[in-house]
Amino acid sequence: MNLSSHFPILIVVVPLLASYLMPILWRWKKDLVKPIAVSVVALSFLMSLAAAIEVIGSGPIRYHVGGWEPPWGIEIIMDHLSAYMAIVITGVGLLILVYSTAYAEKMIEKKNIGLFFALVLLLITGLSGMVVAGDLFNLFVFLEVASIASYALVTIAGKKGTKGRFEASFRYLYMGAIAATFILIGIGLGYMVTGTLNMADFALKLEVANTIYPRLVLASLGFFIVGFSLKTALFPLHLWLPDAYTHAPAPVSALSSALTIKVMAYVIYRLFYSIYGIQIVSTTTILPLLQLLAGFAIIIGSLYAIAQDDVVRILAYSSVSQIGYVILGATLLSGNGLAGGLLHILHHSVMKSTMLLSVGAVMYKTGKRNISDFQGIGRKMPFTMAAFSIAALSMVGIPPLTGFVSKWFMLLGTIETKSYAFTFVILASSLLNAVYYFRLINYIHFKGDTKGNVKIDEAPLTMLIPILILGTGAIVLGLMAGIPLKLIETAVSAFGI
Amino acid sequence: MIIDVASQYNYIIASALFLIGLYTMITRKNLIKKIIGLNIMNTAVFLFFISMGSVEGGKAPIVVHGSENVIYVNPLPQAIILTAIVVSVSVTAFALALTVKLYEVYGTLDSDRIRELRGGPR
Amino acid sequence: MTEDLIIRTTARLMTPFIQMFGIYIIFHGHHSPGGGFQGGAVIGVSMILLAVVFGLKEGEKRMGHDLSVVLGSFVLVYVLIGLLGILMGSNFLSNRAAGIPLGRPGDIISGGTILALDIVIGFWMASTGKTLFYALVKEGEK
Repeated sequence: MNLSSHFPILIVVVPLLASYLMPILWRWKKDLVKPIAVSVVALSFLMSLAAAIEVIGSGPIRYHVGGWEPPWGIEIIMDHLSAYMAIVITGVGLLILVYSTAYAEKMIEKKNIGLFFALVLLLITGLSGMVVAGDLFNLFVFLEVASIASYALVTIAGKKGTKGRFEASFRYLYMGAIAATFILIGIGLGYMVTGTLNMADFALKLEVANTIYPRLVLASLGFFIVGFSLKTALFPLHLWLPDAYTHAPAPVSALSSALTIKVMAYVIYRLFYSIYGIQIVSTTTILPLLQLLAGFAIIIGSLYAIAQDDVVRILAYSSVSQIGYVILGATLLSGNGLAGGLLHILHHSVMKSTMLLSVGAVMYKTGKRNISDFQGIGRKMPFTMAAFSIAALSMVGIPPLTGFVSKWFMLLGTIETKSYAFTFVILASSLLNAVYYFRLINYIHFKGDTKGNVKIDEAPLTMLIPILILGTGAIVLGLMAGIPLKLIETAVSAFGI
Repeated sequence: MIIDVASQYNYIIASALFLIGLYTMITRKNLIKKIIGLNIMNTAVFLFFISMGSVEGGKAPIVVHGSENVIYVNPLPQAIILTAIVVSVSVTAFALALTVKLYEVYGTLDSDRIRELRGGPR
Repeated sequence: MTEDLIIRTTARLMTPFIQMFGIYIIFHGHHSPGGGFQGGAVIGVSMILLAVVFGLKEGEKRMGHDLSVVLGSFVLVYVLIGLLGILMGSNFLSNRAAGIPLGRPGDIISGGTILALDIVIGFWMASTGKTLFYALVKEGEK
């Protein structure tokens, strides 16, 4: 029994199993909840690494669930892009989970801790399932699993939870449900013209279908793009995001910003390049439209961020802006642009989660998060704030930190495709990013002492270590970009660019 | 041509229901009405899928022992819809639980009033 | 008072039949309309009927909170059955390919793992139906 060939499905199933165990464990054996949660995600991470190594060595892994041959059976595919995303999801997820074992003790109401871990595991299951799905409907099912887990996680009561979390979650649910319905219609229209749901088969049959029913194909693509744009918080469908992040506990915002919206953006990449194929997509007006929206997202997200007082809200609007970069990468029809966008998924996950987790550590110690309350914290929590500052500088795009590398690829992409307007957009937004991040760094390190006599010391170790690991990632991943690029470049060349 | 379009009345009704549901979700301020709108939208999608799977003169897709050469309707959309119904039920249940909580916290079910009470959009 | 009596007696009479019908739907899911989700919903509704007619406390006695948690987590067994497919040499959730005997279509014991999966889903759905109702009503009562 060759267990390693079952890794693609086990990466999804093992967290699912653990998630179902959580309510029972929480009721009868409370001590086992955290160790099992962390070890299960660590196991998934190791399996993703092993699968990635095998994919680099011998090509995509195709797994037939239930032993039924596609296109009648459900297929799970682990190709280069899926392996890359699985590593990002399980790796960053693992670090956030370790952080939340300490965060949950103080900041989440005791009776909800078991539920919190069950939901986080469900979220990781859903996201992993989305990246390995080889079948449109499987994608939808795991999408909904991840979404419902997200909606619930936003309302998990913090001890200092604000009342606003219910409305934030309701708006998120409500917009997310519309998006899911749109995606379902897209699947329906696509099935109508091709007669199959298997992604590879769908791509083949779509070429024939496009000559007979071009408008139906366009309609189904349109529904998909609208649905996933809403899920990935692309301007102007980003309205659920700031409220959801401000009222959710810090690890939940980190999970959502680093993982959830990225996986939704990954699906847009898949739609454009693997499922519909770039030939069909480039004949429609979707690419220029999405480019325009991405450009707006980049600039307007930064403008909003400058105007905020609450640090978490600044980071939320910054996420809106950064997702614009990722989508811009998808719409530039150039190898460098695509590589930049995909690389930005990893880089932004690491950078943004460092910052959100550090802010969470500050809230853990002081319970406050306006910019003015961050005055002078750099002296009291040196390591945490060092990681935060490095991640902030990396986001601005200062070489040789990691943010610079992905922006560089995208700049190359815009120059190659002669979209000079977007070269200007990327450079201008780096300046805007500098405005609000330098302001934060100024307050943290240079503005004098903390207000009041609150006794603040460094964050606990279980919270500090993930922050430091992610912060180191913000420095090192740029220099080590060759390693993820191995997976990305094969993926991009498989896309046919 | 009118007859051709009108014979596809399934799809026309499904589209009409979808638009009614979407309109309700967007314009009505009462939270419960928004959730009902969501349900109407989902039901419209289910209708659309199932009518897509119907085959002329087909029977229900159940294999009875000892019968061959029977035309069945397409069972795949039906399986999809079963799953989608479960998803829709879960989302509705969660939305209703949130509504109960919202009423408890704000004392009103009007989404505009809740916006005001929370301090307005930022 | 007489109306109350009629409702109570009817509920008491009907509940076993409702649950029997639910179990019937679950067990015949693979060769007639129905299946795990539908049958489980019917059984869940019978619990809700008890709660509506007799009050929450009486309903709690039939299926308490602990039992709901365990039955709800029964979906573990679903995943374990899937892993069973791996153990028997084929892929996850395998049925015929893993060598599980299939039987003739139309019998009750046929279709391999489908019957077991249906039963698991039935338990889960009954527990969920009851839990959702109780959670929503208890919130309102506070």
